[in-house]
Amino acid sequence: MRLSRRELLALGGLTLVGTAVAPSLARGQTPKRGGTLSLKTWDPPHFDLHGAGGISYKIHIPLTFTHSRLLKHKAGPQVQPGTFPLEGDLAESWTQPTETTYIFKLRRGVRWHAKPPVNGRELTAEDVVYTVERFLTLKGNANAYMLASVAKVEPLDRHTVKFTLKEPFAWFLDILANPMAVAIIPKECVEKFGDLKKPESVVGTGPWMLESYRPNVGMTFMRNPNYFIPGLPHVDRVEMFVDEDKASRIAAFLTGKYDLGTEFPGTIDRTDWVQIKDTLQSKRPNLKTLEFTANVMSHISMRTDAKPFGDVRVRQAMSMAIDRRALIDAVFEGVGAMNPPVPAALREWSIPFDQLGDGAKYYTYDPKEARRLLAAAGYPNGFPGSICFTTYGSTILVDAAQVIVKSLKDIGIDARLDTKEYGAYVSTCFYGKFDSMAFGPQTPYLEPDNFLYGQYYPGELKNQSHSDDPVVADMLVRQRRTFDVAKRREIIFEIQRHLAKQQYYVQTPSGVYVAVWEGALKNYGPNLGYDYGGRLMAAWLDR
Amino acid sequence: MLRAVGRFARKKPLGALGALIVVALLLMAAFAERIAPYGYDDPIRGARMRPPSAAHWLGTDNLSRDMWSRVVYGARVSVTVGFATIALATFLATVVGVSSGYFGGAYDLVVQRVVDAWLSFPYLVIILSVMAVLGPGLLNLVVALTILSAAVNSRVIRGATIAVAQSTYVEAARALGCGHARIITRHILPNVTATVIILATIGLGAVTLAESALSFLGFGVPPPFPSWGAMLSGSGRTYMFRAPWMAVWPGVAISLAVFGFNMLGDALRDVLDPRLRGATR
Repeated sequence: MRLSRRELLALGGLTLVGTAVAPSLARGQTPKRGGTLSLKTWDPPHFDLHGAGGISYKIHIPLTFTHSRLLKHKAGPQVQPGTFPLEGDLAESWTQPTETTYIFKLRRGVRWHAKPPVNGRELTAEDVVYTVERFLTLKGNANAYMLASVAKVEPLDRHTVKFTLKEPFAWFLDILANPMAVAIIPKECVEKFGDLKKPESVVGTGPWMLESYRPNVGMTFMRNPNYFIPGLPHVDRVEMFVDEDKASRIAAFLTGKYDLGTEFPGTIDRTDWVQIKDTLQSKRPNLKTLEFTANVMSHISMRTDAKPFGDVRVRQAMSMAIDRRALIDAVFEGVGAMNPPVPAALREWSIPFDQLGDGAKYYTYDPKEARRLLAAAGYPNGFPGSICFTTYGSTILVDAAQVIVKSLKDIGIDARLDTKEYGAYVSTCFYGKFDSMAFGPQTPYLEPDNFLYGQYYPGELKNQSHSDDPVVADMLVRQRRTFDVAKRREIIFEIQRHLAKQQYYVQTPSGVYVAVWEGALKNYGPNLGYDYGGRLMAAWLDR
Repeated sequence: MLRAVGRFARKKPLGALGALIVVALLLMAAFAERIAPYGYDDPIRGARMRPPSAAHWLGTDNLSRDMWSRVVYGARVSVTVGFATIALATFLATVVGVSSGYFGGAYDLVVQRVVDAWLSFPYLVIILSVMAVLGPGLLNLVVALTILSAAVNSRVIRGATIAVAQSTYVEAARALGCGHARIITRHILPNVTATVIILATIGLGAVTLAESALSFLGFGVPPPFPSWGAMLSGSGRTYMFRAPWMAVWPGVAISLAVFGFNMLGDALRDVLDPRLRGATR
């Protein structure tokens, strides 16, 4: 390589500048140990994530601080929100000898929290087997279907676990990394406490240990000194506060009480954000923000196994009756994303609208065409109906429901909101037990399979619309058996093209999250999902 | 009739103002379609969260709906819940209170212990329990509020009944051989009517407030039909900083309605209660 004199001088200058700047950069980037992180949380009904009610995010979020999984999603500022690259958590490495066999090598020397009854014993393959078997067999575990493909799980030695599946399941590793699924638990706790509902039974191998739980008030986590990744976590203490009143938590956020946004997943609702951002600039000038599309998607589900929703023209008419742009303006302050069957937030798997084909037109607002379709289906004057609904305590959702009701009314569908208490709604309408229609948000999954297979495969618990389409069912099974990511994506796109024409569910837009965090919190990157603990594990406080 | 109204207005100006508000409320509820310039759920293109103006007297909300129209329609919920609850509660309370006060003895003892037990629960606990079982909705709201109001009012009516039952004219009727039914309908009821009317009018204000509170908690009339409490608690609170009119006007409507019912009730008590007759306010 030949350098000119000018280039040589420039290089020398850069080297000098680099030498001068590098130490200060390094100092700035060197993680600091210590400090207390303050977060807003939700009061968990109990702590048993495998038991009845264990489906609640209120349980999953705190347990991401205390428990480990075999795999986890990479976290940090370098990870683009809406993507979920995998890495080992308890698993040091893994192989897939056949399409239906996975072998995981566990890290050695991983110790349970130094709390009774486990008292810091080493984690073994037996613990993984026990956890998976409990997850699959415990009565009332509504998430058990996530690992329904598992035929057998067995220890090969003290630190090796083998999973044998009933059939190929390309999403298997993603499911293991999902915080909704299998956090590894110790057998001793179940034996001593009968279940894992009590706070004393929260013993894991995660980066923090539950120090105290105060019902309806909050909980405190202390750093796990024996965590298996040396030096982590950096933060000594995590204080989580239950704060059910929105006005109160917004006021608290303004005064600097919380280090992350107070809404899931560490965000501020845009309706509030537009009102407080100017105040925040003066009160908390160091706040960092990042915007990304939410994977919380609401849809109208309906009894497609009966009249009138059995007629595809009725469903298409309903979709065309919804002015999605107006919905975004009305409830998301004009910032939102249109959703095909897989939410736009899952950017690798959601089909772009310009590739949706013929079905794309059913997502455009056209009440005239909607009325024509209804008339063609034999309902020129529309029909009455009810929409099962719960508010989830969200005024945004109530506003969205009102827009939906009005939109349907405009084409002649006289739908009455049948508002239920949250518990009643979740045990009935959320699982398709309703007479006419239902409207509400769906679990914010991180993989497209859960959005598609769960909601469209015949007989599935979350097939709220009771759809029974052999074309879809065939494609759903095929994508699960396709390990080549590009090919699997093409099948998933094809499923979405088909579903867009069928409109078994009428998807509504999602908002765009405003993730907010304290500037002193370094190496933190927001993302979708419940894994608060995972995203904060390598973060540190510079204050 | 007009002269009597004029005399009432001169003697009880606050009561007359209350009556005026109540009449206005009734008219709004009855003729909402004619009074409101827009439907309660009609979005107006390009008019999201507009402040009060000549085009939209009370402004528009976050779903671009005319606030004045929604406040007018909201009166329908307040009036329906208020009057239906008070009618039912008054009927129940009168039956329980009069029978308990008149017959006395073991029957009175049992009935009053049940009422005691009922009253010992905090009212919000009772209402929320009933609503949790029945679910939200106008009819269920009326049932929940009726159950509560009836228990409270029955105790007052019982007291009035006991006083009337010891009157000499009741004793005289009994001595003449009148049966219980005749004594109750011809002598007791006419003499506790004033108490019942006063309880009803004062109760209307309390029920309006309770309806607003329950709608505030999400147990009221399902949206998009407007209820003042729901308007205040829902988007009204969310957009408090940017569009305060969304919360202010439903709040003003609730306050005015409660003020109107209370003032009217107060004035009626002064007019109908012989002990307070002649008092001016």
